[in-house]
Amino acid sequence: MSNFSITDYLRTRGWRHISIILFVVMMGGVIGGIYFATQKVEYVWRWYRVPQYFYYKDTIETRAEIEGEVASLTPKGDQVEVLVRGEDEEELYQVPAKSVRVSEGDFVYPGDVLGSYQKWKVGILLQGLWLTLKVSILAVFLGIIIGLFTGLARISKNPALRWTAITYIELIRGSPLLVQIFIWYFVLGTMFNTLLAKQGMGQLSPLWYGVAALAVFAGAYVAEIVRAGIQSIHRGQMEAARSLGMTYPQSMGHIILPQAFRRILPPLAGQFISLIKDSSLLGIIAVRELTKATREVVTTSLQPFELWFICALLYLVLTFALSMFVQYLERRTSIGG
Amino acid sequence: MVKAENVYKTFYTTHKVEALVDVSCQIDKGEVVVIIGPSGSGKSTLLRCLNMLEKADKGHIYIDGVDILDPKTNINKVREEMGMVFQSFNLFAHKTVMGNLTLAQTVVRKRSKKEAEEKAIALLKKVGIPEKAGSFPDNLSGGQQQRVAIARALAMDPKVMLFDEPTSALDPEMIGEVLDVMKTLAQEGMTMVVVTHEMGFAREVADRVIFMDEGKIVEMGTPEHFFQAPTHDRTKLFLSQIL
Ligand SMILES: Nc1ncnc2c1ncn2[C@@H]1O[C@H](COP(=O)(O)OP(=O)(O)OP(=O)(O)O)[C@@H](O)[C@H]1O
Ligand SMILES: [Mg+2]
Repeated sequence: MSNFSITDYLRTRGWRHISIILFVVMMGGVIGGIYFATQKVEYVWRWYRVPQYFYYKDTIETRAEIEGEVASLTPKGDQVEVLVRGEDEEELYQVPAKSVRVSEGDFVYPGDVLGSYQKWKVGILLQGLWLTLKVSILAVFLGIIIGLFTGLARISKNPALRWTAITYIELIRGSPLLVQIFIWYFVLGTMFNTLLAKQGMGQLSPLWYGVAALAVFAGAYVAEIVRAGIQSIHRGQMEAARSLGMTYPQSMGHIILPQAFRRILPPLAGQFISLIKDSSLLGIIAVRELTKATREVVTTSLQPFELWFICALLYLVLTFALSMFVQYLERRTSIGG
Repeated sequence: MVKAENVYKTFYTTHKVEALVDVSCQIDKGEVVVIIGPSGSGKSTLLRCLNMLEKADKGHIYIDGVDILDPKTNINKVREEMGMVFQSFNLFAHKTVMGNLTLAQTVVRKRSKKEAEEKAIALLKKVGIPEKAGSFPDNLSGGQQQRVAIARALAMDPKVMLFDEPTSALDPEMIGEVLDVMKTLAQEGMTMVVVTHEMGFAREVADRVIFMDEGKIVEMGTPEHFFQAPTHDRTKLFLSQIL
């Protein structure tokens, strides 16, 4: 212990410890600062109100549907069968024994409550989260397919394919996603739904135009990622495959794409994380995804601070899960160099 | 077996490069032909035109009687019968040695996995590295990689083998092991077209030597003719520089 000095400590573990402390202090400072500021504007935090927007107990009442007299109450386990006899009809209702509100001989009118039971229901935030997840998964899936084919067309020797791909990519990348969503919904959607109506068929919901907008948008970026990935594979790989008599599609499928896939994964993950976040724009065409759901809840609950933080956190959970999944894929495909 | 008639190939990049100018030659069954010449003389281009990795601009190329420049020809069918070995090996990096050897057999030749693997093992024994079947190309030495590449081409039972400077990227101590494999192949009667700077190999194994310069075939003849009595000045100059 005699030759231990503060400089030695600093040189070894000291910096690490100081950094950790600094990090904690800064984080605490930010959170504390926000809290202090909300105190100043007299905002009352009510975190306990948040869970009900995920999952809540709903009371469902069983009501009489006819006019008549309660003829009998027959217990069945913890349920009670209520028999209502009218002038020329009879109805049998089952309600939990504890909640029965009528007794034999009572006269009931349609709409009168006979009893009630409680049921867990999915709240609006969880519904929004689920819709965001659904929209994202569909758009990612379609985006990969669109991007793969566009990327292949982009490097094709056939000028018609190549120019089509370039036009598509440039159009999509050159205009804001918000505008594209409007076009998908208000222009293409209106047109398509009118055509469907003329054929006497049902309408397509905004959800699908939203998914299309996101998928087509992501597809253009994925196409460029795919193209770069394919072109990063040494051309000797393709020549070797072709010299063995493999066709172009066989060589692509067996040799080029598997190798490109590994290099494409990180930028692809970034693209799809953007897509999840961009899905928050779909609220403007009445798709009730997470952001729109949060907005609705905020207007009824008047607890914007908690809810917007929760909303951001839920997006973080989704994007983080995606990163984890991609890291897992990367590890799996890199086995054997 | 292989016949080129008045083949032309020009590249247009920053400027016009006439890589092949009126090249005609013929390689018979079982023959070993070595192509030599200075850098940029069009040796690789000629070889690559033979299996359509480059498309010749003009002329005719017949492989086993089939005109490969005819648009109606299915080039994949022709390539099945021709093996090619590259300077940079070009082994499939994401597949094991076994995977490299069996892929085209199963995909193109439609062999069963078992059949393809048996063939692969036999060929790995032939090129002297049966113990490397499970390795990935990155973990092999250059000489081993090139031997795997030769085995991969042989697995398709080709009628002709094309070699484009197969030993140029190798450390000197590994050149011998690859040349030995090629010599064995030649002795077994394989038809071979070999671009190389290994004059020892040319002298020992070649039935004929072709000397190219500036996209043209300058001189063609037996190794004895070449190394003892070359006729053209260009050939003499080249040989004096390289020997
Ligand atoms: N794909 C290509 N695009 C443009 N020019 C090319 C291409 N391939 C070859 N060339 C040019 O054609 C000429 C002949 O090239 P080639 O590769 O056939 O020569 P080589 O005899 O094989 O030379 P080396 O001994 O260096 O391999 C060179 O001038 C080269 O620059
Ligand atoms: Mg060359």
